[in-house]
Amino acid sequence: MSRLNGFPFPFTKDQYTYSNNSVPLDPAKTITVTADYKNELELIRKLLQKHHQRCFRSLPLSIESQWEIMLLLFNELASCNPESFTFQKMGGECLFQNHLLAEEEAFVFRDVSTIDLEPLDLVGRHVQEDLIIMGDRHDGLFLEAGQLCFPSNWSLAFVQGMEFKSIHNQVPGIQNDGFIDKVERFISKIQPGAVWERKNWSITVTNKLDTPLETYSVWGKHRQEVTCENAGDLIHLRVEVQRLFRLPMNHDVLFTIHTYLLQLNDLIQQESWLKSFYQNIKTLPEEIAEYKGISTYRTELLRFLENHMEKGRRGR
Amino acid sequence: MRHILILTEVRFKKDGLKEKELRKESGSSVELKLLDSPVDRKKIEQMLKDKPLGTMLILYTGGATRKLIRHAANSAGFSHEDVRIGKIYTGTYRIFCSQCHRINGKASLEKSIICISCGQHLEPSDHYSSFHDAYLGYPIL
Repeated sequence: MSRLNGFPFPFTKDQYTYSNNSVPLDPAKTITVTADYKNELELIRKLLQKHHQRCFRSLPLSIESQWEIMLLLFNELASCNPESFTFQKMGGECLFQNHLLAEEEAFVFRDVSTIDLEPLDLVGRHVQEDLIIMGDRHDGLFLEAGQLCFPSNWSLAFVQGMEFKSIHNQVPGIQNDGFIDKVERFISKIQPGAVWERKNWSITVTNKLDTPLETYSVWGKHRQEVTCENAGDLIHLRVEVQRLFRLPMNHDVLFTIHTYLLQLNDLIQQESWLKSFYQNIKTLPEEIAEYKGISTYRTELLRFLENHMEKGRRGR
Repeated sequence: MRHILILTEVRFKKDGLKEKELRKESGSSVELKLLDSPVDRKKIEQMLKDKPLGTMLILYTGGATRKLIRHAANSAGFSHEDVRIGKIYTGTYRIFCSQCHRINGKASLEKSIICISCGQHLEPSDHYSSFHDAYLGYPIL
């Protein structure tokens, strides 16, 4: 049952609904440290080492926001987890200590000669979240930098420099009733200091956190292998806790994504979650199921869930 | 509404004019200029410096000219986002390989292609990036 504790179960209704389900967070935290910290940081660093061009991208004009984010996240790590991290700033001189990894970063704020990596790349190696900077320009939001190790079937390299609306125009139904315009307006109006959170879900076959479009030919083929018998082992509910924060100094938007996976065998232990998950998969419109990559095995998955709900009924 | 300047080579004039009409319909103040051949960077830079602050530049040009104008625009104070690439209908398209990031030229959107760099079989999509001036090619398993 331990995997269920702290898992951000995303379904609040027993039916699939299409909405911008963002809520304001109090306290306004942009990141979370979990028990998986060390394992995930090891994976993040491995991916950055091996596939830097895939996992990190930045435009030169993002540098000031990168510095602001580095300071913000080091501060937040230390103030929310003082037993694991400390951060001191004396004038421009900064010292961040990561006691979990027995490491420290000493640098002078806004002096690139004192760091070996770009600020976002550096701070991204101390948090579990993927980090995206959306530049807020006079005519829209643009993806100007990102450290993205755990994407769900998208490519940072392709969307770098793109407008918010163009990035999302492949999502089914997103243009209906001006939905995407409303979301962009919502983000543009986020006030400095406030954090908004939403949960986005999908399904990953196998327990891989790193499922970029670049390696789809490796992990995508597992979708064909799902049967009613192995669904419990293979299928993982993937939830991205996405947070939006307006940078007070540079006015750009920091978008953090914390990815959680829960194996279906664990999920079905919680009866209410099993029922809710089943109803959402069952009522998912076909074009959304296709977009989320579920169509191939939806019948097998539903049969697996029905079998377990039936078992539960007989057991009562 | 921001001012829009469309710069087009003579060969892409039709596409540029179409863009001008569309922008006008949406209420923008828009002007179209035909580029001399060869393009004089200094002249372009000066012309761009005289434009109102916040002008959006849309280019209908080939790759080399585009690069030259981008540099001139940056020197004249335009940000990367102030410069857009217009969609040119040439019958062929640039396809971004989602596996190795190579941009494959001269492809059709209707037919699948093999990436010239990594050999991945790709299905071109209508997901367009004006930053790369290319359409995303999805892997075919």
